[in-house]
Amino acid sequence: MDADAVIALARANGVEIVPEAAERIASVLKPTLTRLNAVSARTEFDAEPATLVKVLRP
Amino acid sequence: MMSLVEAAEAIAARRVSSRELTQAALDRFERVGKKLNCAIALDAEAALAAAEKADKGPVQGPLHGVPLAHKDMFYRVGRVSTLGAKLRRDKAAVTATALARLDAAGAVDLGTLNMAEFAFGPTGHNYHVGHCRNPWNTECVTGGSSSGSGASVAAGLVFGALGSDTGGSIRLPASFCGIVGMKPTWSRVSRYGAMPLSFSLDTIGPLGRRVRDCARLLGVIAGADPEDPTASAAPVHDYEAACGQKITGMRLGIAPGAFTRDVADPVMGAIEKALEVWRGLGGEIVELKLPDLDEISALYQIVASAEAVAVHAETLRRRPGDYSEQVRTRLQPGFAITALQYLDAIRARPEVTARFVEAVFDKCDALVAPVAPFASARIEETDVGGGPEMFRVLGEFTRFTRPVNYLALPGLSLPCGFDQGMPIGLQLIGRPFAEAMLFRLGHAYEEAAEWYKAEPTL
Repeated sequence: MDADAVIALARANGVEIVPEAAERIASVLKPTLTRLNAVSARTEFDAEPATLVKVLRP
Repeated sequence: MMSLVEAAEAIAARRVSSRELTQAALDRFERVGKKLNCAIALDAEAALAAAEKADKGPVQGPLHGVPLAHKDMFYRVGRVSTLGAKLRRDKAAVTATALARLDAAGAVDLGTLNMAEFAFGPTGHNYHVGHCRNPWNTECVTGGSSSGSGASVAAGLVFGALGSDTGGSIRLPASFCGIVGMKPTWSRVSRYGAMPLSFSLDTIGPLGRRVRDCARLLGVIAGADPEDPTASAAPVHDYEAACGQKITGMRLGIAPGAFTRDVADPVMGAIEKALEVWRGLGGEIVELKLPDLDEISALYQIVASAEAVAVHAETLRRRPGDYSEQVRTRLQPGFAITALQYLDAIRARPEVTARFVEAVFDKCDALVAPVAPFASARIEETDVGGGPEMFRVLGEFTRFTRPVNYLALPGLSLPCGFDQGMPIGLQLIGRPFAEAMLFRLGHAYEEAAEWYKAEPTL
């Protein structure tokens, strides 16, 4: 994730983000996405996200 | 200051009239509320008419005649909900289920309270309607985003208020304002007619001066709702009955490291003293190792960013200038999150939550943690707008609250001391739908510690 990627993704969503803001966003998202990747690598995903309601049984 | 339960009992016993309490609340809003900038729009005429009707008729419910006011994000037919924003001025076509249930319980609704713009701010700054101010020190933040709810209850302007909590927005103002706030289990309270921010994380809950006040409010608003398919049909417990139950043998978990990193000494000191109180009441303190909170925070960030931007994308494209720089800047990362990243963060939730619940709640009944790493912050010093320090500063406010939102668990914020005159809060975190247990532990502590007896001087 770098500033160019942030700008490109935002532009694809119809929004312009200036380079300075994109740098900050990239610096915030990079460690976040690294942690996501770590979780994804070791998690066996359920097919249905709705299974949260099963986890939330009282 | 009278508690909500005391007010309800006094009104029901006709020792005081609803009109008297409602007029007093309106007078106090006029005298004190303006200094705090905690109200957005009060309807004195409607409130007094409702109060007089309450006084003339039989007791309608557990909140009969009690004046309340709420964060300006709960729609009521015919009323404008500003959502703390510049953009919205249309009148609502529906009434939020939470408000309707409070109405049915007999409460008097004074009107709407200040909040962070679109509920997207943990400090209480609002660049459109003005910043809300802390009753304990008006130079300090209230916490957000339910800023007006926290300030109004703490200042004794109303007996209770609704807020919402997506990343800490009930617990933070409760903590910074020295009152009680319950962020319920996700899906415990219907969100019909409430402004959305992040539909996988948003919860609605009460703020009050006392634990029993919040217990009564939650008992009224909780439960299934045909208008909101996500509202759980899990049984609604008698939360008030839980208050007053002994806590002998109950286990309170602490997590050194996870919830102690870079926490101010006065906050840690207050929590340690609170643990001693629970020990004295017969509770056991259990040390735990938690799953990685930084990972849970990251998952939260992806879900919250993607879902918040989904709510706001169209207006951000068409009218970006109508957002404050801070909210606009905080929404922008959502555009850079791909569908796969969002789906992975959502799909991980059941397993991450199940592992957390197993790791923690097999060993303790409730987890004790700070609400924030510090007791207070000055409005001016945390006025970071959308600038380079924004992500860091705001992230510090929610470091201990946002993982609880991703995990969908209940969290009860309780006052537990003071740091240079500013309240300190701790949170009790429970397993899903364990609000009664949290109220039980919280009430026992509150009765022993008596922090509610301290009142801000206004």
